[in-house]
Amino acid sequence: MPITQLLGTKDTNDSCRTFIFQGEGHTLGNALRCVISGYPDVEFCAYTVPHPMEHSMHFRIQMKKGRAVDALKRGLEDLVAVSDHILDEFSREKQAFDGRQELST
Amino acid sequence: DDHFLCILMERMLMEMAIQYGQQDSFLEINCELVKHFYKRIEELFMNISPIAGALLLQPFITNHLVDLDDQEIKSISKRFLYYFKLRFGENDADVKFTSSSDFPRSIDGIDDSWNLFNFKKNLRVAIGRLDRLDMEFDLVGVDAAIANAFRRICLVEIPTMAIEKVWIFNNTSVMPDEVLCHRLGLVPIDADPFEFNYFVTTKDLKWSPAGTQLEDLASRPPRPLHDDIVLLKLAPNQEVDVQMFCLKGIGKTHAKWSPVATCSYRLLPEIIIKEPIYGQDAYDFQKCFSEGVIDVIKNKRGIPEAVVKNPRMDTLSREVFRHPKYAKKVELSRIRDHFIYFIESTGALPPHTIFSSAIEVLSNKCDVFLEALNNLST
Repeated sequence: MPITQLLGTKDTNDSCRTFIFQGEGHTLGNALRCVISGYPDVEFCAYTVPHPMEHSMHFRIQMKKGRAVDALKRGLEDLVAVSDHILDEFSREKQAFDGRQELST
Repeated sequence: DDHFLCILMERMLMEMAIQYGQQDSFLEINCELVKHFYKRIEELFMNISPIAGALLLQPFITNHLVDLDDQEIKSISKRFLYYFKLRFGENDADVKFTSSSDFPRSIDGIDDSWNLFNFKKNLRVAIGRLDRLDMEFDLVGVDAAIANAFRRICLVEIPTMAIEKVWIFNNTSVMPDEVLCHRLGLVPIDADPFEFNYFVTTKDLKWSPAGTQLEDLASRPPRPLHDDIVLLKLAPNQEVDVQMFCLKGIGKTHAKWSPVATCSYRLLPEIIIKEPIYGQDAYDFQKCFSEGVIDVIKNKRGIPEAVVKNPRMDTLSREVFRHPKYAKKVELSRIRDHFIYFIESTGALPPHTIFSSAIEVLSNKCDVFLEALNNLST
């Protein structure tokens, strides 16, 4: 299972949850944290890599209102949108750069 | 109030003049003109150059903000404080504003919660140099977490081809088998990784052992990128007879599969000259920085004066703070969301493809987890 949740803690309910991502680390964790921290309903958002030999990442979201899962979904979707937009800009700039190269040679 | 506005206007015009190429330092300002202009500072600076606005208000923010009576100036100043917080301050020993400001409501009166529209508006990409192996480009308007995610992916999660399985038939050299195999693995291979896909599609129905593969890949047959890498040295009567297999992999598994020699970024430096520096001091000041960063030009009164020409080339060595006569006159900082990436490819993949792939890898990671979340019943 690529994603599970931390069970059995009394701090877990619909609005406070710790998600465990298998096979991920700081690459996705920090980027996702950066996006989700910007949502106004989020009270607390942080990630940790418990041990470098274990390839998992623990991601905790606490909401003022609303479900933690919804914030996570929104964060992932926003990160996809961010990546797509950066890719578009980069491709466009690459084409413009090629055009400038052709003009100068 | 009048005094403050005079200074404000003077600095504003000084900054605009320097930005737009005229090198005048002092202009005669009329108080009435200042009063007329201050109400439109926001239009002038928010859209054209928030940097100039932030620079203008910088000394007043730190020293005088609490003394301002006028509510309008206070609210405008706070908006510039937001742009100002995008810079790191480095003054003598202290580094200011290092904590992340990417959570909403870190500054009163400004709503900087996550906004996709604003992000798209502020994002900028500019390629400085792109050839077969190296690329240098700027990425402006992202948070460090995302820039770092791309750097990490370029290093370890873009697949390439490298020697992985080696059948050794004979090795009577002085080099042990595993050492030789380790060296073979590190040899960069000129093969397009996209030709070797994990999944078999109907297009690959004619896929068969290596023999026919050589015909399919005839336009770019897999071979080492460099013909002159010394693998080992033999003495008389020693022999090495090996058969090697190249497999596709990612840098996370072993660094030999990394597509880049390295991928790094730095932040754009910013040098702010708070008080003008003239004469011989200006030439000494120029020597404190890397070549080409500071320019000494004759100002309107014919005196040589130091101006910042190209802060991008500076290494921010802080040499200037070792000289007490300049230490108070200059401030060094970095622009928090302007990343100058430098991607050095090993040659198998061109650098712009590496970065484009990195962005797609991040996007795919998110898609994997979105699908997993959708499949969960909760």
